[in-house]
Amino acid sequence: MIQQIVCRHVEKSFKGDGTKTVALKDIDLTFEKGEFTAIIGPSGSGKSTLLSLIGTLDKPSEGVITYDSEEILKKSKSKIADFRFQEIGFIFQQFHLLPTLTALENVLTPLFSRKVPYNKLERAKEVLEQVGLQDKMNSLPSQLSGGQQQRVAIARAIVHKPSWLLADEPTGNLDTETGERIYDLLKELNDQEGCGVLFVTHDPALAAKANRIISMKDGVVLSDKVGVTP
Amino acid sequence: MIRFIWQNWWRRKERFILLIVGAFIISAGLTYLIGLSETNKGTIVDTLQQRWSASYDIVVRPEGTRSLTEDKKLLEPNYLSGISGGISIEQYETIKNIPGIAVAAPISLIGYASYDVYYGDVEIEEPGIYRKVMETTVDNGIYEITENGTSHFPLNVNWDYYNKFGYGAGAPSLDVTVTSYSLLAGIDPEQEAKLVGLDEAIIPLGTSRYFEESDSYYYDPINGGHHEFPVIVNQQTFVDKVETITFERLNIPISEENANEVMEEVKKNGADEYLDSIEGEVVETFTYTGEEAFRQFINENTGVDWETGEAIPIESEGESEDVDGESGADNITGVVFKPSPLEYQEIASPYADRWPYTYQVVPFQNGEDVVPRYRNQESYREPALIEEEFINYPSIKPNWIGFYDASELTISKDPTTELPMETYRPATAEFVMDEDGNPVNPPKQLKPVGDPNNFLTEPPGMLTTIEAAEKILGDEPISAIRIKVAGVTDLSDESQEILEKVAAEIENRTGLITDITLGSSPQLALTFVPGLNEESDFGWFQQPWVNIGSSISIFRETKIGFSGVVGSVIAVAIVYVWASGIVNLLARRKEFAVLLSIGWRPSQLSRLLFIESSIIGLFVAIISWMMLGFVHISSDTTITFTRFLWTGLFGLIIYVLGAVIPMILTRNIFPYEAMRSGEISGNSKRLFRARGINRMAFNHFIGKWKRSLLSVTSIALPTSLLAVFLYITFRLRGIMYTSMLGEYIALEIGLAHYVAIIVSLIIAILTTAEITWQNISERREEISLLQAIGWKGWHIRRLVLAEGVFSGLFAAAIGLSVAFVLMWGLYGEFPAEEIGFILATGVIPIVIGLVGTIFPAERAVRIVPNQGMVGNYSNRKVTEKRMKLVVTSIAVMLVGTFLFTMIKVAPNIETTDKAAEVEYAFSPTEGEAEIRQPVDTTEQDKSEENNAFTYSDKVDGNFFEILNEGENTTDKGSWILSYSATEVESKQPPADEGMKNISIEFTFEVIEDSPFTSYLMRPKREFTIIVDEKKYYPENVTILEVEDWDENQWLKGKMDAVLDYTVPDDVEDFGFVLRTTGFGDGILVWFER
Repeated sequence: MIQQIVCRHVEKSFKGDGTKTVALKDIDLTFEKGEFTAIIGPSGSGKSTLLSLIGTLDKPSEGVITYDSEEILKKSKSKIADFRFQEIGFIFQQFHLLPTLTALENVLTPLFSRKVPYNKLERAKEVLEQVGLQDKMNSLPSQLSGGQQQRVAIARAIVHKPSWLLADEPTGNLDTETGERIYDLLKELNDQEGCGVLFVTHDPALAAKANRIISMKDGVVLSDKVGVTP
Repeated sequence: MIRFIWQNWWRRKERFILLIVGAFIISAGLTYLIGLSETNKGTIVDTLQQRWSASYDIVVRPEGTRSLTEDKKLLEPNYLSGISGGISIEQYETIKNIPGIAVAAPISLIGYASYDVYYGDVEIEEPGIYRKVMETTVDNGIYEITENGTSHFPLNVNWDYYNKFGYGAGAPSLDVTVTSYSLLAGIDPEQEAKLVGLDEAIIPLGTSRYFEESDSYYYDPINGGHHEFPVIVNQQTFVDKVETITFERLNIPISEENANEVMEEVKKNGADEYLDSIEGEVVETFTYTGEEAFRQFINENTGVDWETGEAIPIESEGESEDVDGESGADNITGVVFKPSPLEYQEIASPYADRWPYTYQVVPFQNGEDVVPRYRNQESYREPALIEEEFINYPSIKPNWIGFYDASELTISKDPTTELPMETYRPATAEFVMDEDGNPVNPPKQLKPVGDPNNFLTEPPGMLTTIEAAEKILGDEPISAIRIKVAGVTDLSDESQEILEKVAAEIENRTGLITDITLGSSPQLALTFVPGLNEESDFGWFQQPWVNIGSSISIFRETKIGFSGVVGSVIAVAIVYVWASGIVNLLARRKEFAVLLSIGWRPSQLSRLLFIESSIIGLFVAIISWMMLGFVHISSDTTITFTRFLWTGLFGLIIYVLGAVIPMILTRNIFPYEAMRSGEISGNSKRLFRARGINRMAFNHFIGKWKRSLLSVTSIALPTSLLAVFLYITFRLRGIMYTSMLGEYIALEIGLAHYVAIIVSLIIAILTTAEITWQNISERREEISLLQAIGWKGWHIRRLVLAEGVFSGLFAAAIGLSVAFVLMWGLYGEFPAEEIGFILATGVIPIVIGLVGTIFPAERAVRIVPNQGMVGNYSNRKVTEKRMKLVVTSIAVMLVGTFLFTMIKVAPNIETTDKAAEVEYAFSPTEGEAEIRQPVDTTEQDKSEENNAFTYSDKVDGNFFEILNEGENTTDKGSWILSYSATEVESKQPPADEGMKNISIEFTFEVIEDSPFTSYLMRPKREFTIIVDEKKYYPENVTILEVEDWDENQWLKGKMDAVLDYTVPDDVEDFGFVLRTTGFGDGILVWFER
């Protein structure tokens, strides 16, 4: 259980065709477990990059990210993968469900060839029930609506009981109403499971509901407001 | 995991079908190429070993007995029958003791024993002058040859014939005797039994038996001395002849009283000629066939009846002996002729495509000092007398001990595949063209005529022991020794090595010459047999000759060639598997990134890919095994276990290896890729600005150059192979089809090669389809966008197809370049002649590129604008069911077709050693069309020329070349010879009434660099004037200038001569025709008056 994630002087730049694009500049942030954080900002402000760095999907060019004082990213790919499996659940804007698998199978994918102390199938059904899709377990992603797909994605992200949920514009591809429901679901998880939730969004209305709002622009954190929620 | 993989396949059905089809093709291809072709090849080797194997591995001959034809590694059929001694018994013993030699069977061709068959005396009492006509009619298969001999004698008129000469009549000759020849050969009974099983071929008839220890030679010094020895006699006679002896009483009144006066009158009137002219009245006629004569001979000599094998009652024979008291009493006959070889001369083949080897028999011109029969005559072989003087001819008394049946020997028996190396059967010769080069349809079989000095070699008719041969012939009785070496069982390099060692050992120890005959095959050669003694030429004969050791080298090459082709199919299969693996990875890259981001380890991805590949590999292996098993059960084809195992394992290995590259590539997938949203174009390279569909397609093609390279490679590889193989086939066809073995191989192995290439090409189509498919999938958004902005389906289709065409074009360029390099490497020459069809093979890759993209293009067209982003996977029950049905039926169809073909084909492959199949394989060698074909073409060629000349009214037939008076062949482009003819003033005395003289001067010169160096030039025979189908031969030949004219027959240099003809007065226009070797059709010079 990672209690705290600390970013210190984190910088990320991409090289390509002779140009160097700086996505993140000197980020210093600390996240505590149980927080419900929204990251907002215009396109290209580095929100998603920050999320992928925190989620160990990528490595920073400069600076360090420590997870309870541990530098996970210095470890081998397999160790990082194990860390992701234990601690982090990802939710993507495009849902990224495996199109050939049913909802249930999709939810099961993180558990493939992993030893877990619980019954995998029971757990998968449980989380699908949790997201309200108990009747869509055997549907293929193409047979589900956007909101349903995202809920499957959320179920997949929480099936292995991570302590952190990272969501990259989870409501971006959804209509407002559905978006609200997804947001509520994340909030619920934050409340009930005590997961740290970090989500990137364009929607100021949704962001406003978070108890911490980080706004970014051009790779720099503009503001970091904590405890704004009433 | 497995479930995950399965779902992944099952729900991407179109892809899955491609995958399955690929797996089926690979397994079917491998099954055929590795599993079945190998057995097929094995069958060919077996066939060779069983049928075309000589009974011996090495032949040892005396120095100087190699004939000219052996320069070309060719042996004439029954070549052994032409060797007369030369190896001593000591040399034979030495060879026998060389380690490793299992059988050393000597053969000594002693000579042609004449045997008289006496049927008793004719019973004539009436006084008179009689004529005895002995007529021998031999059917040589083409026509009947009749020889006449007449003699006259007065009977019962008390005329003193002992002291009267020059009357054309002599002592009464009342006996009915037929003379024949039989080749007598000596063998070592023990070795011959081991070599060909001669002891087993003895016919169990009466006392007939094989040689025993107690059978020995005995010299009887009484009455000038004769050799007595045991013989076993060939049961078959080969000569189809009829002997007729007729006694006529001449219409000359003669009695004891007027005998002297009448005879004086006869002498005065011209003796012989006078008697010949007198009519006679037939008194008695006796007719015997050759077989009857031979049987009688056996009966006489053995006292055993030919057919029943029972002893003939002594009385009947005794009676005739009593009457005559002389004939057949001792059964002593003589040996007159030694075997002698034919002399061959190489000539240019009239149809080199069909018979690359053509020879001409050079007749032997006899002088004064030979037996009367050949005096001043020509004969095919030099009549070699066993002794100089008649008095020294060995008298022999063969003691019959048994009959043997040559067809019971353990030598190849099928006449169509017989290797004519055994001396036990007559050589065959097919009369295929007459002297003018016109085909004989159907070809006629030449039969031996029983003349020791004729063209066809005869097998021995009587066999005795080497011991007897030595006593008759002296120190060096053995003609040849046939060696069988221990441990040599099959056609292989190892066998060849052992044989070379043994052969070298023999040469070292004895100084004799050796030839390795293992792996020899029949080779059809053409022989031109000229006419003897001014008779018209016989014509052209096709004979199966022996091509020494040809099969080992051909097999070595075929083996390498075949392994190469199979290797490349496997290479193409591996490229395909890689391509599909990589494509698979590319397609699922994002999916993998997502899996990584949700906590999968990279090793899990590798494992996933590995398991996937292994499953398909196993599937391929099982399909292959099933097919092999099924074919095995249903057609009794035997497949060795290791080959069976390997056929399946190969598929597995290919697929498992195919997983390696994608597994390595998974390391380059980073989890953050899951975060990226897809942009329409990646970072493709550009060469041209996209101005039209084609350029756009080209940019795509270049942009994805890595995968384009894969599809290009997979198409290019089989293309270059196809080009090279076609080239080799075309190049070899001439050579291959002229040797029976080559023909066999071309038919059997060629098929497997083409199947291999077809399999590769299908796999190439799949590879292209797979790659284009992926390109399309990646460009779904782009394509839907293009459709959204108004592109029509046809445009999109063209965009995709253009990409396929580019792949094809590149593949064609690369494939053909590789092919040319290969050809250069193999033959060291640029295929200038065949360039056209090699370039034509370049069309194939383009077609394949196109075909490979049709399926994906249709898919691209089906992308609907709004569908670009949405997945269209489904798991609806109905669709599932339908899908299952489709996949199952396709699988069943594929397997079914394959098995059906295999079962149909496999038994044929398997039964190649049965007569029917073999006949089929050889039919091209004796079919009518083949022979007719070249002649037809000449006819066509000439018919054009016919129009230009008016000769056709007067002269029939086709000519090799037609000239006008004074025109030279070089004017017509001949680089072989320079020839022209003009009329000159005749210097002959004026011709008879109604006739006139024509004199023609011709010049004939062999051009220096010409490959044909020698022409038969006997001006009296080769040059004729033809008018209205009538031929006129020269009356007189005046040679003005001549160079290099061997024996007044063979012209190698030039000749300038005047020929004088006498023709009817009314002849105006006429043709002057030269027919000589190489110009069987003749060269016509047309004289228009």
